[in-house]
Amino acid sequence: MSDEVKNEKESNGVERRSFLKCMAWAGTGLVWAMNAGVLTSCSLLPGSKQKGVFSFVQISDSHIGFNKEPNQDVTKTFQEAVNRINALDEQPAFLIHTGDITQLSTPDQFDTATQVLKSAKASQVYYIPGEHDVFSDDGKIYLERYGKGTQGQGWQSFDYQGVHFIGLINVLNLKQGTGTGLGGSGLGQLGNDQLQWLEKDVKGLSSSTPIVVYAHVPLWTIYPEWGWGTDDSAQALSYLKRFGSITVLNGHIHQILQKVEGNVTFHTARSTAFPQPAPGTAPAPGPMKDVPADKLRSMLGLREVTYVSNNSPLAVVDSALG
Amino acid sequence: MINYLNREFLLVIATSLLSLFLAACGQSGAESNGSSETSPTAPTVSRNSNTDMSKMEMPAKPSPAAGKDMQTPATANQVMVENFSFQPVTLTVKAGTTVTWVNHDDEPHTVNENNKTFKSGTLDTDAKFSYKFTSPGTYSYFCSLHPRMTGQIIVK
Repeated sequence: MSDEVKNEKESNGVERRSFLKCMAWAGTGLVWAMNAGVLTSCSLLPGSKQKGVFSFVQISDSHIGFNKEPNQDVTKTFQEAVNRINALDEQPAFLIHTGDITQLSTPDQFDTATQVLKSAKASQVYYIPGEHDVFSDDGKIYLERYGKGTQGQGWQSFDYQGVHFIGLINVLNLKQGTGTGLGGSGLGQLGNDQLQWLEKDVKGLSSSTPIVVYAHVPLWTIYPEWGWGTDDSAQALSYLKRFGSITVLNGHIHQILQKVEGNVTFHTARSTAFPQPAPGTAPAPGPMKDVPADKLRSMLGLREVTYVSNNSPLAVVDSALG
Repeated sequence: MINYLNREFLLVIATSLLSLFLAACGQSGAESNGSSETSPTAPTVSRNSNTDMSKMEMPAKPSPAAGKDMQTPATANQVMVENFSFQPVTLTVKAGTTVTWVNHDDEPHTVNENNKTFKSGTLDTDAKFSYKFTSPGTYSYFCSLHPRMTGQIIVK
């Protein structure tokens, strides 16, 4: 892939000059590199070519129906993302859409998204909703379309080649936030029913099972002033503590952020529609409007995740659309 | 509840185009005390705009000279929805007054009263929602998409 980074390791690690461009995390096999102004995470596997047991792709925040600056044709950029996936040498086993499929959760917007995803070679797509997919009707249309085979209000888990995947929903029943800790926090929330289900869901699993959790709003607190976090995520993660490898994939904030905490790696993904400002750098977290047309695609993207069949974290490669 | 970010915190920001941000002025977050003593009466609701994304039925706008670049001054009995906040955060009106919310953001919002006394549905850009307050009380509301956006109407 075009975003892959040259392996600039010396025998004893990353050389100092490279460290200015790359930040390697000992033991994780991940590197961040500056590539055309965009930080990219790449694996440090020899030859930088991913060879794993299988891979899957995360796409997020397609916001079908959004039609303003900086992207008046989000269906087109969503299609470009699917085309890129179709062009991968090794086809992903499936896709995961981490929410905000649509802008206003209308049937025609869901139809358009479905139509675009029909062109994906990977026939299986797993979904969880973003707040844009459920806010107008408490998720009724969403569940009619994507609820089959899910639990409760749409959450689900499945196993693929020894990896346990868990799709959580943290955008339903949002309560008023006060910013003071009284009442709601204004963050995402999972709720007791889902937490109880999660606890049971992982109970019988061996601690060596690699876990992938995906949800729309980040399951770690990034910027509470903008609601970028989930109220009860710590409780959810407490059920997963005993597992050796936990990969958390989120959307919502339209930019790549990453955090490692113990055995857990947290990743947020780019949108396929429009970028949002870095935390606290703008008055509000709305779309970044003043993005030059020739820069837009460098701020949109998709993510390929490869399972490499040992207890190390999954290899994560983020690619911009242009 | 938000203490999960302390150890080994590592944050990498993928975009390097910060200089491109709109330096839009305006106030940041809406804060309210969240208290609410709501009258359960159900006054009439008049919707001036629906969820249709077309702008065809936009009422004649009061030609906002600088548009969204400037903080739009609120006229009486109007609440501006902009920069992910309600302005003014607290509006005091007399019983019988109709209050209108206008969304000036490029992002949909909603106006949901805490006790479901009123609920706007989707307010896309430039959409309006009006509600007639017939009973005195304090009505706290928020945006169901961005629940940190809060405001209140005090009806005397």
